[in-house]
Amino acid sequence: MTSLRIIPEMARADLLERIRRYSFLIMLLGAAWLAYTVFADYWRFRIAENYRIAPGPVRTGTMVALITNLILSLAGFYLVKGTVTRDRRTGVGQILDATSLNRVEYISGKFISNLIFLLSMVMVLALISLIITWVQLKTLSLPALWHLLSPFLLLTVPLLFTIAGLAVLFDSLPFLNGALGNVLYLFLWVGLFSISETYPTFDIGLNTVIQHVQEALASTYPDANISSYALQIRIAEQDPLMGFQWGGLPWNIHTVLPRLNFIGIGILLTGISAAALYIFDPFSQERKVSADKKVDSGASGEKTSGMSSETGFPFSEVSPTIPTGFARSFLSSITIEIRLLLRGHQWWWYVGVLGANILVFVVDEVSLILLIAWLLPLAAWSSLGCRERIHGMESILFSSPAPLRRQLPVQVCAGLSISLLTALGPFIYFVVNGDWGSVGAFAAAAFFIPTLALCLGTWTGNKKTFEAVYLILWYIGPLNEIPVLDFMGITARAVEKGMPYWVFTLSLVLTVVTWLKRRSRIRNVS
Amino acid sequence: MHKLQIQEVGKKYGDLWALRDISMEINQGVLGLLGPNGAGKSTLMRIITTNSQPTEGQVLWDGQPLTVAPDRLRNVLGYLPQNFGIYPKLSAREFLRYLAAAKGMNAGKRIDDLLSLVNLNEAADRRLETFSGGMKQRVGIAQALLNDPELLIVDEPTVGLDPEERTRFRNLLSELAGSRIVILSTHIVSDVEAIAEQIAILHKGDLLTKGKPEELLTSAEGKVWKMTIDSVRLSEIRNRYQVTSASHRSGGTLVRIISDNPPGEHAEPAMPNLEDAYLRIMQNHKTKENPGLIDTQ
Repeated sequence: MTSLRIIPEMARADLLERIRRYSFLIMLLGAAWLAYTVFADYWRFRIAENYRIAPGPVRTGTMVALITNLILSLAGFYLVKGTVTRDRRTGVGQILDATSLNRVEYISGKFISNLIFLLSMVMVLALISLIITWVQLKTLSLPALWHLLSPFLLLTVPLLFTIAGLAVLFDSLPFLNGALGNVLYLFLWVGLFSISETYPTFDIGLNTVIQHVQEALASTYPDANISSYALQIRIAEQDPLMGFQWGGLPWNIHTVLPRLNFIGIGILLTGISAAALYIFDPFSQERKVSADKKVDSGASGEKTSGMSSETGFPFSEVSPTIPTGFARSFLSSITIEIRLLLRGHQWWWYVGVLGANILVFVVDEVSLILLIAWLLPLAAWSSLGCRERIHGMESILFSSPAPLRRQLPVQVCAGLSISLLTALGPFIYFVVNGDWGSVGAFAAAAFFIPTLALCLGTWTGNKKTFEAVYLILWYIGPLNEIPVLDFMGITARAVEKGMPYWVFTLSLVLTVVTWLKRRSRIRNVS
Repeated sequence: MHKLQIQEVGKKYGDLWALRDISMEINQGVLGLLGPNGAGKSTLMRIITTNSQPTEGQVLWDGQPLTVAPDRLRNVLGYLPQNFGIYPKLSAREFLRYLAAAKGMNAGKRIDDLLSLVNLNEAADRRLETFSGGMKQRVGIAQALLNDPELLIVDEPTVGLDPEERTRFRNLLSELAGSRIVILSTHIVSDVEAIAEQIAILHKGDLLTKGKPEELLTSAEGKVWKMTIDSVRLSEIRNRYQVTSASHRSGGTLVRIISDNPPGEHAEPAMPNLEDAYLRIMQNHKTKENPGLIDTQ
């Protein structure tokens, strides 16, 4: 079989595995809702002080495409990342590794699958935009159709190549396929976004559109201050904007060529990913490690077979069981759970946590240190709620006594302990300084983060969802100091507005939602 | 003395019945649950262990439905699922401590003893990711015994064990069976032959029979034959009869056949074993489902 037939087969199987899930349907519904928000004026695209593109297919197509780019360039990465990791976990990777399939074919299949997955969401967005526009206008001419759909073709589709390529690259590199990679991608995204004005190669489309819209505005209204613009969610009632006619992005060498870069980058990243798979060899390496360790065990003279009759240790001589009191058993479970959550962290992680907590008393940047301190335990929190499913432990754990009453509170407490332990310095700092508002915000956030992790882990069965949601929330809310999303209470305004109470209430809701889902899982372990 | 009652239990996945109208009462001793892959054994195990809810019917532990008081059973349950996972970064000892905590027990000394029982005391502090399949299975056996269970359910426990380990594991089950209920689910007849006091056979979600091994053997008496044939006739014989074994000899091929009547002039009656009895029951059921499948005359 030639590569031309192998690659589509690889992509097809990977895609089917992903789309035959309820979560895919939810994503498509989310995409449909996103398109609707543009029509419902949830978004505000302001040019100059008080202008906007006049409503119509041009505005709809351009805005939906830009918002799609903004969201998919960040969230899309997290949505499609993890396909190589899944193959490693399920053992499919080891099976494929034993076939004649080469790494280029394998990773190309994954790349195409990522691309089609993202494309399906874009198609839903375009389709919903088309339907609503048609319903509003009652008719849709061919030029109008072109104005509506061409921004997707020009702005969005090329970008998907890069996102799909980045996802396979992060998947292929062993040090980037986990929580660390998710954090680094957020910083990469922020970094590229901030330099995109200077380097058009990294422009997700916003600068290209702004430049053309500003030129059009300047020619119509020479007095307008065109340098100002904003694309934002409309939170409150704001001054109405005046519409002006814009003919849409022209298709010429200056607009098309930079977009083709994204396709080239995507393909290049896929090539690098294939090379990375040859170098790091995640599937066979895993076998090699196990084999090495087994050889080691043989060398140590340990018997690898045998049961009681060989050792002469009959079951009747096994010590009796000692039931413990609830409190002691609960504390013991929390200790073990914390150890499990922290298992696998390297020494530098502990140094980082310790350093951050000491630094808070040395430099006067408690907010920044709290932000960093609560980024470090991302991998620990993300195991909550999904670890037992990932490791196939549910059938044993859920047939233990009181699996809901005992295990869920243990996990909440363990997660809360991680929040407290990793940010003990800022907590002491707030208490010592009598900053009780921040203490309240701290307590609410310390409870909120693990309950969010538990909820998302229990519902999705994976770590990735929490890692992506938390990172995006962390970036938009506390880091960018948007009070309505500042769950840590970094901004004084968030505390004044009573965010800690909302965060605490939301944590309780999340706990109840987790409880419901977990109860259902206990009754039907799949 | 504990009692497990399964009353008209059925489980449906979509349009497919994985189990239908299963009823039985299980008392102390080893019950061997036999059946081919896909017979519904694991589904039944999962219902008994509260990992799944029946679509119809109920399971009672000491007269209490599991839906009402699942923890009464969970408190005394030891369960080794067919496909169970481990936390690879934990050592065997840490893993057992974790599960002991989940069961609300302080089991320090008992964990040491159980590790000795399954002969993993020397590997007790090594990470589970370095264990072979058989060693992991033995960790699974140890965890099932953590709480000294009154009800021990082991689903395909000998998968991954070498022949020696299998024999030892069967001996261990016999030793355990004294005063507790042990349910051993398997598709390997020899696993239950030596130790089961009761055998239940499942096929495509139906309970075909439940009885003592000697009753199953009696049902196969006079239905098992052996004869030596030309090797070239083997495929013809296979097409006509249920052949349970064939071994090459200098004078031809010695075949063991299940048939109500002698399959040939030189056929001699043979003493049935449990595998013969099991295969006969399965064959009869298939013939009823699909008459003319094999000519057993």
